[in-house]
Formats: sequence, structure tokens, C-alpha cells
Amino acid sequence: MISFTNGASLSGVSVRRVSKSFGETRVLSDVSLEVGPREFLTLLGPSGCGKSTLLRIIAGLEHPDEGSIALGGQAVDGLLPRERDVAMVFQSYALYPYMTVAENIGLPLLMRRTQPWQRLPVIRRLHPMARAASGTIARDVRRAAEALQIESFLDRKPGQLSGGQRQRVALARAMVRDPRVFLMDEPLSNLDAKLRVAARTEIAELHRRAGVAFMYVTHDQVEAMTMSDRVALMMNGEILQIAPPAELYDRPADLRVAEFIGSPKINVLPGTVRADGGIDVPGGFLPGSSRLPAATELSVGLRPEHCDIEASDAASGGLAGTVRHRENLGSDLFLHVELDGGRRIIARGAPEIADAVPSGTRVFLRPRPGRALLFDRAGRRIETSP
Amino acid sequence: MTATTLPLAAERSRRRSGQARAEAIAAYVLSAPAILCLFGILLLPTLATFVLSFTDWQFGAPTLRWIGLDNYAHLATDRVFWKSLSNTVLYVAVVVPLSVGLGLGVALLIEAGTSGRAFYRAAYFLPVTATLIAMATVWEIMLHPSVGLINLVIEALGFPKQNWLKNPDLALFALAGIGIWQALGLNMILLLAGLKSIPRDLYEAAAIDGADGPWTRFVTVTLPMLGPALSFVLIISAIRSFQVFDTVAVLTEGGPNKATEVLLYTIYQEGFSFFRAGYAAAITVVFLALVLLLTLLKARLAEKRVHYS
Repeated sequence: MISFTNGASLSGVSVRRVSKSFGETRVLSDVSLEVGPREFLTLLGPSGCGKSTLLRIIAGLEHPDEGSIALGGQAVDGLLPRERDVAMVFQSYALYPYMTVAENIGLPLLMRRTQPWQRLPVIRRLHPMARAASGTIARDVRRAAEALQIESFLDRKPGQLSGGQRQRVALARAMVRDPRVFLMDEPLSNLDAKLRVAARTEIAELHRRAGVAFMYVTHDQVEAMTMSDRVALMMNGEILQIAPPAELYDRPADLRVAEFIGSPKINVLPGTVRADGGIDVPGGFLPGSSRLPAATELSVGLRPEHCDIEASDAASGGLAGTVRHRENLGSDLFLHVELDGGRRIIARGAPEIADAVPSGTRVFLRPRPGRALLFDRAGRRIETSP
Repeated sequence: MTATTLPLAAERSRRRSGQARAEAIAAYVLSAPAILCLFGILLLPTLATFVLSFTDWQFGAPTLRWIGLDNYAHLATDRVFWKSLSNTVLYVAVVVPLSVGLGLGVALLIEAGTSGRAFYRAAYFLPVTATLIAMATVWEIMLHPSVGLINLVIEALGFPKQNWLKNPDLALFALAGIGIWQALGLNMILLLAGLKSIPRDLYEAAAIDGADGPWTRFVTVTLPMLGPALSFVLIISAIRSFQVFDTVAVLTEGGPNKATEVLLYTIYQEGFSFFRAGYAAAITVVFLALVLLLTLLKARLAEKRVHYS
């Protein structure tokens, strides 16, 4: 289900029924979404799902075949990227290599605050208006650079900076002129894992300070889950679900959402509803009352952390199987269990039990009550709780 | 290296000196063929020219005499040499900006175009692949005073016919025109490759930053990003037009009245028509000095500001 924020006039970004094809390939089909004026919304999805194209359509770098875009309540469909008052951070950072850091950050201001003739080499230094403009630009550039702690690199060229520093320059160039919307296209994917963690925090803080709408594109679910107010999960040019991160995880609308979010991936087992309301699955059955008609065929989604690992079978149901592989990460233990009947699933347990469950051990996996996710044959989730 | 590390390094080098010497010998043996070729084919002839320029050697003569700077002293007062030098500089000054400018223009048009790119690329590149000697005869017909296509067009437009290759005021510019026609294709291809290597997202960033007018985009993104390619093309064009020879030899033979006398043609005449090899060598040295100057300029440009990492 797609939820809309109330109050269209207060909206940051509104995308209405946008479709886009490149030649024969349909990249976006009938996509609609609303981003609140101060909301951090992430477009999450596998590569090729259309998330970057949607962002580029909002920026005005691509034109939709159908549909319309409004920013701050104002339709921007015919407008050039410059006129839309958006800032964008590119995956490659797209810094101008021949300009210093200060010139990179200052370019959006230079282009907006001066006339072309004032930018000519000699006039730029001599004409009073041009000089006044470059004075205020230098002040604003310094302020943006200080906010991102790159003021000591202002005279360097991007080629002399590390990946993390370049990324900050790109952020500074985006925030220097207080845009209406921040658009970020996988800005962290070129950073190493350690820097990425720090940069996540930084971008989240930048969002709080800026107080405007952020749209963030990523294929990394950790980035989406940690930074966003809401996440729009996209696949094959469609939005499958827009929800806060926790809801996306706990109450996925679609089997594909459930499979995309969560690591290791959710276990999916074929199930059949029994007469007593329990569900038969390979290796055992799930007790409980699904209140579905008997013999209904469905898919059961069971997250690795939602089954307890036990040594002996109790009467109340569960899945019997044999441990085939152990992964002990120190904080978590993942058991790859082959259920009786051949299916393999992954269960998470406490690392303390690792020694007790070597390969070949018989174990019983007991799903936590109410945590199994049920999906119908079309992949839509079936609500089980009243 | 600081003083405290010196003894350590010395000791280490002593210990490894035996092995190092063996490696050094092997290195010299292995690189000897390449070094010999380098000297024999590239450096020795240059050196020989330099030495010859201080002699009165006649081409084919059994003896030669060391005459010091006499050849250069003669050069300084030789009106043909000065005419030849100024003609060459004028030729370069016309051909380089126009062939690079037009090459850039064509490259930008092809890059911006939506269809027929391969055709335009091939068409403009055709003169580069053609033999200039053969093409020069085609141009001779084109420039013919009575039946040449160019004069027919000019007459149709209402201007007087010109005797392009026989008019001392026009002949050098006619040759420059052929030079531009020939050089444009290579410049276009090189600049096209340069344009292709500019990341698309720089243009997109510029569009969002507000640098989106055609001129602003050109000076903000295209021109600076093209810097390395452009400086290379400029220098290559300059060196190649300094070496203009084929069209002069085929079409004008330096005339009329030395109006198209250029350095390479003068060298050729002195050396192989008048057999004054020593004198030709002196002109060659001047010629090499000019080309070397350009090469140094390129190296300086390259390290100063047109290279981005």
C-alpha cells in the first residue's frame, strides 16, 4: 500500500504517475510518491530498478514520457534543472577537476549571483559589482566548507583529495545555496566501508540541519534503513512499498520486499494451511491460527532471527533438520539447516551455542509466535494478526 | 637522506654490491640493442647534422673543411632564408588556429549531432588518409585560374577570378587553405576523442549548478576538460605545419618569387639541388630548434595546468 503525506501544498517533492521508457525498455511505470517538506526519503532497489532515473527526472536531467513533478507545491515539468532549485550529489561526485575546492563549491553561487559579463577574467577582478559578488560568494563557500570540515582544502584541486574529502566537497557544493530539495544518487558507493559508516551519520546530520526534503538513491539496504524517515522500495520500475524502515522490515507488503530487506535473506518455504489453522511446511509445521481456509497454498517467510534453535522437539510444532554449515560472526551465529524434506534455511542463534551445534547435529527450529510472514500465491502479504 | 641513515645505506649497499653489479651488467646487456638503435637511428643523424652545419661540406664531396659559424653568419644575411622563415611562421600562424578551431567546431557539431556521425567522421578524416602529393594535383585543378572549381564559384558569386598559385600575395594562403583542409580531419578526430572522454555527469552537475547556456557550458566544462587534448592538438598541428613541404614542392616550387619558400623546401633546395649540405644542415639546426621550442612549450603546458589527475 502506498501512503501519501497529507497537505499537498506543504510537500517537498510530489511525483505523480510518472512513466519513462528508454527505447523498448520500460524503466518507470506509473510511479507516484510524495516526500514531506523535511522528510528523508530513500529510493531503494536493485540496480536497474529505475530509482536513479526517477531521481534524474526530478532533477530535470531526464524527461518523463508521462506524469508530472512538483517541488514545494509548484509544478516544475517544463523547467530546466537550474530553475528547479534542486541540489544533486552524484555517485562520481562530478567535481570539476580543473577548479579548486573553493571554486567547485562556489560555482552554483557564481552562476546565480553574477551576469555572464561579470565572469569574464579581467572584469571579474576589477568591476565593483563582480567583486562584491565574489566577496559574498567567498564568505558563503567558507561557511559551507566549515560545516563539512573541509575549509583547509579550499585551495586544493579535487585530484589532491581522498575519496572521503571529495565526497564532502560534493556535499558542500550541494548545500551552499540552500536548495529546495537535496537529491543524492548513491553518494557513498565509492567510499570504503569504514568511511561509509561515518558518512551516513554526517548525511543524516546534514539533513537535520538543512531542514529540507532529501531524496536519496541507494541499493544498500543498510543506508536506507539507517538514515531514512521512509523508504520507497522499487523493483522493475515500480514502487512496491513506501514505509518507515521498521515497517518495511516487519510488515513487508510483498514477498519481493521481504526478500530484498534483511541480511541474511528471509527464508521462504512453501506452506499448506491445515484444518486446525496450523501450516504444514517442509520439515514440520507452524502452530497457530492463520484463520485461512484449509488447504490454502501459500509462501511462509521466516526471518533467520525469528526462529529459536532447540535441541529437542517439543509437541508444539517446529521444523526439524540437520545443521549443514555454521557461520560464527562473533556477534551472531548463523546456522544453515537442511530441513527434513531437503529445503535449506538459515537460522540465527546466540554465538554461545556454536560449539554445541557442529555440522550434522539434529536441531529443531521453533518460529517465534506471530513472526512468520505469510504471502499468497501472488506474493502479497496476508495479514495474520487481528 | 639524513646523515644518520647514510652509514646504514652504505653498509647495505656493500653487502649487496656483488649481486647489484651482476644485475647492472645484465641490464646494460639486455638494453644494449634498444640503446644502439636509439642512438643510431635517432640521435646520431641529429648530431651529424649539427656537426655538418659547422663545415662547408658539399653533397657527395670527398673532403670537408671546418668553417665554424660561417654558415650561421651567412644565414643571418641570407634574404631567401629570412623570407623562408617568415613564410613558414606566417603559414603556421594561419594553419594552426584555423585547423584547430575548425576541427573543434566540427568535433562539437558531430558530438552534438544525432545522426550520421560515422559518415561525417569518415568524410572529414578522408584528407588525412589520402596522399598529399596526389591530393595536391587535385587541388591544382581546383585552383586552376580558368577551369578550376574555386574560380568558377567565385565568379558565380560576382568576384573577380584569381590566379591562386601564381599571385605572390595569394599563393601562400592558397597553400595554407590546403594545409587546413588536410589537418582538420586529424584535429577533429583527436578532439572528438577528447570530447568523448569528458564525463557526462560533469555536464549534468553544471546544468544543476546553473552553468547550462551553450557558451557557459562550453567555457565551464568543455574547454577546460579538453585542455590536455587541445594542447596536444595545438602542438602537433604547429609541428606538422612547420614541416609543410609536399604542397610547396608539387604546386609552387617556392614561387612565385619566393612567395611560398618555406624552411623545409629551402633545406631541400640547398641540400639536394645546390648540394650545399653544410649550409642545409645549418638551416636544419634552426628548424630543429624551432620544433624543439614547441615541444618544450608542450611539456611545460602539460605539467603546468592542463593535466588533471
